[in-house]
Amino acid sequence: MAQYRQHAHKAEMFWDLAQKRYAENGTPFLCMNLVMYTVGHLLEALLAKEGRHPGSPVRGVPHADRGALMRSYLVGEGRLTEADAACYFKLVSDRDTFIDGGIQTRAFVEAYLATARPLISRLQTLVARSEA
Amino acid sequence: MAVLDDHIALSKTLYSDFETSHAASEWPIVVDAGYYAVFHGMEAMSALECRDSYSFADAADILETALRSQGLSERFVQDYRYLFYFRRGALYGAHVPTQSQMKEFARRAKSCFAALQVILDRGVSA
Repeated sequence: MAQYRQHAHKAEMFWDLAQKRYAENGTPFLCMNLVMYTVGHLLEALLAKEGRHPGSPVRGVPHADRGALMRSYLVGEGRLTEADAACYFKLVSDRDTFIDGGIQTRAFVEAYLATARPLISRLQTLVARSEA
Repeated sequence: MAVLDDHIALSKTLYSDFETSHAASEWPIVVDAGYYAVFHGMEAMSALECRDSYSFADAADILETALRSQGLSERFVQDYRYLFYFRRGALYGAHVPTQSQMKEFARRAKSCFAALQVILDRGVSA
């Protein structure tokens, strides 16, 4: 299991790559993923500080359990709000990995980033504060 | 057939990202694009028979119960598992792949992508 420092480092790396790829007009599918990985690692950095690590369904990925832990520990303790949690679940559900709604466009990734940016900023502040 | 076309187009776009990022040593993009290029190639194969994965577990099940008997080898099945868990460990977990681990990942991604192209070229033109 990754610990706080590893998650914090990866969040920074993914956020740098997300912004770089977005500025270069990169493939929207990859930009979307990089944004989601940033959010995921920021949340898991905060959860790791609490000794919590999300599990995954068999042959799956940990988005749902991460959300459940976020609600229990970070919203429950008042460090994040219900609106933050709703934003996280919107980012998870809007991320169309299976492209049911067709391939992501530039407009999609612009909207995705606009949704994610305030949450990323808030999570970065919490992570920075937890280091102090 | 729009869904088939979407999967093929995204698979090819991601494979191109995989190749250019490999040259630029951007390992997270190499891993993400390499895995998803293969995944969407598999989804394109499924679309030929009106199937979709709703989860990664679905994709693994469809690979083992349907795609394997349609021309994908046991080696492909093993390589796909390797790509899936490598991506999860490197992108979601603690691991930072070494150069030699990335070389092995890239070799398997290329091999899977090439195997899919042979089948898709045959399937789409049939």
